[in-house]
Amino acid sequence: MNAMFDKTIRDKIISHEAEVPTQIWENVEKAIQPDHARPALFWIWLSLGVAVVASTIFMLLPSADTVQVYTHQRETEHLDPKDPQIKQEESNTRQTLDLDNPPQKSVVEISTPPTTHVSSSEASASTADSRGHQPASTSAVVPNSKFSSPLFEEHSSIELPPKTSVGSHLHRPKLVPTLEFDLLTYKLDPQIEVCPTFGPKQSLRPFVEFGALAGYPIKQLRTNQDGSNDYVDLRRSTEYVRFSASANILAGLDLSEKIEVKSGVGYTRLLEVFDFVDESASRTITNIVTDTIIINGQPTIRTDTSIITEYGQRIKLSQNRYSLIEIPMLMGYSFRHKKHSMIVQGGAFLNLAFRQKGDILDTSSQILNLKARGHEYFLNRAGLDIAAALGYQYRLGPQDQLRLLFQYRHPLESVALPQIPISQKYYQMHVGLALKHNF
Amino acid sequence: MSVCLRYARNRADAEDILQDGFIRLFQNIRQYSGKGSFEGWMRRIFVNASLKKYQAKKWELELPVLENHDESIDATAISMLTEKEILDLIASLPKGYRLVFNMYVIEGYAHKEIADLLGISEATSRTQLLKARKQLQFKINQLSPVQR
Repeated sequence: MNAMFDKTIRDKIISHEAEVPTQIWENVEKAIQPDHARPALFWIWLSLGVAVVASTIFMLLPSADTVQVYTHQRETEHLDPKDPQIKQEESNTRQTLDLDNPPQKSVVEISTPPTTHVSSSEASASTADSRGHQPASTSAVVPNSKFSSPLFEEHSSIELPPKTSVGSHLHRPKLVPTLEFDLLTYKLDPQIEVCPTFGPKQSLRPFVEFGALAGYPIKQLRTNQDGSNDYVDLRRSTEYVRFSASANILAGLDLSEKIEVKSGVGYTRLLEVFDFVDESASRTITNIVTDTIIINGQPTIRTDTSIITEYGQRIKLSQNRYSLIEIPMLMGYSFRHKKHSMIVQGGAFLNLAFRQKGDILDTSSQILNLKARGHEYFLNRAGLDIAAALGYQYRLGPQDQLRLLFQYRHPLESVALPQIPISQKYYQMHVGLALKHNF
Repeated sequence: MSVCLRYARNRADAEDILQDGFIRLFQNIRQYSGKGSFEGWMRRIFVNASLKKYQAKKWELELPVLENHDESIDATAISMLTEKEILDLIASLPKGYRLVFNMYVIEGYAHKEIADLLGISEATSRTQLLKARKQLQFKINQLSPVQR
């Protein structure tokens, strides 16, 4: 009953024809135009160009790496011979100097005119402070220091007007003498103590970094042997790269404020779609009919077997997954600007394991299930990738930094076995975030 | 187009499927080596395009229509209907019924293949087909001039 109903319906509608709007043909024509995708090399050169330009701009930016300088003067005056009381006056002048981009002439303003000449030792003390970036103590007058700057020597002796007295109060005319010296040419007195944080030795700071990146891998299938072009074309038309994601945990050392080295463990997954229409698929239907026939009053069992083989197409659609476990070995350099930094990184990813799941076409155009053990198509280890990254870093706190990274990985070896007639590589371009924590 | 119309709920959907199908066909034309029937190969592509469109969404809520009615139908009732009327009736079936009915009855897939392609169990495929048949028979009986 059902079979008859099915056949009637099928016969009725199988010959039906419908009109197709012309708009569809126009849309199809537009969609199948050859894709003018830019080659991978274009993106690589573009990335490198952006990296170079951005680094140059960043280096040219005026640095605001500031230190606070306290110039301190301590004076002793005998105001009146009858009054042996010594009056001390102190004044502090706070000045901000830009060390990375120092001005040619530094101006120190002294608001209190001393009764004697301004000594060169006081000026040199202020200069020492400007190197040491920490406020000097109130008694930080350094005796016997010598200043060799000719500019400074020219102005190191300043004649000040005599003090006057009005009534019982001391009245002192306001005077702001200006001392000019060249910060770039002075010589520091070796006796002046330099702040230890600016010393040549700096401790190594360990850190950990957690990163997560995602992006689009560019797949390269290239023939190794003559006559395998068709196979390459077939593979290209049946496999579509979709997405890749990577995560890593790194530990490292800050060798200085700008240079870091790090290594750890990383995991990368590449996702692809395998879409294949198998036009030579076949299926076999076996029908066994058993009848009981009564012959001469005796029931006899008869069995008829018919085998029907049908040929047709089969559409196979599966998600392929390639997993890589690797050891990143990276070195980074940063250009700092306040809380913001630009990072350039380089290094290598050493692959420890390469696993595959899904389907591909083998060299005889048959579907090869990659999950099945024992297939001989891919390497167990994917070799070495060279990596370069450009990034932006924001200092969240004294120990934590958030990084935005653009990473490119260039594989040196094919992931396919040598006996496979094609080379298969994945050029990965990733963007992601990383959190760095210093100890 | 008629293949697409059978799988689609309406003409607009059928046109979308047709367009996607042709794009897939031209993109995969290299896979056809000329051995089998080109029409059959094309038909599979359009069936796949239809499945792709409807598999992206979840199965619609299956309406429990006439579960307990044993519909019998006369072949003449079907023959009196036009092609378009039958296509409209198929299109009016719930999505799950429609896909399984088309794949089994018209394309000739086995339940196992349908189950694989739709991501359902074989039992579900059989059930959907049974329900589709019953619902279609009921609708044909309603439309049939004998019943009218």
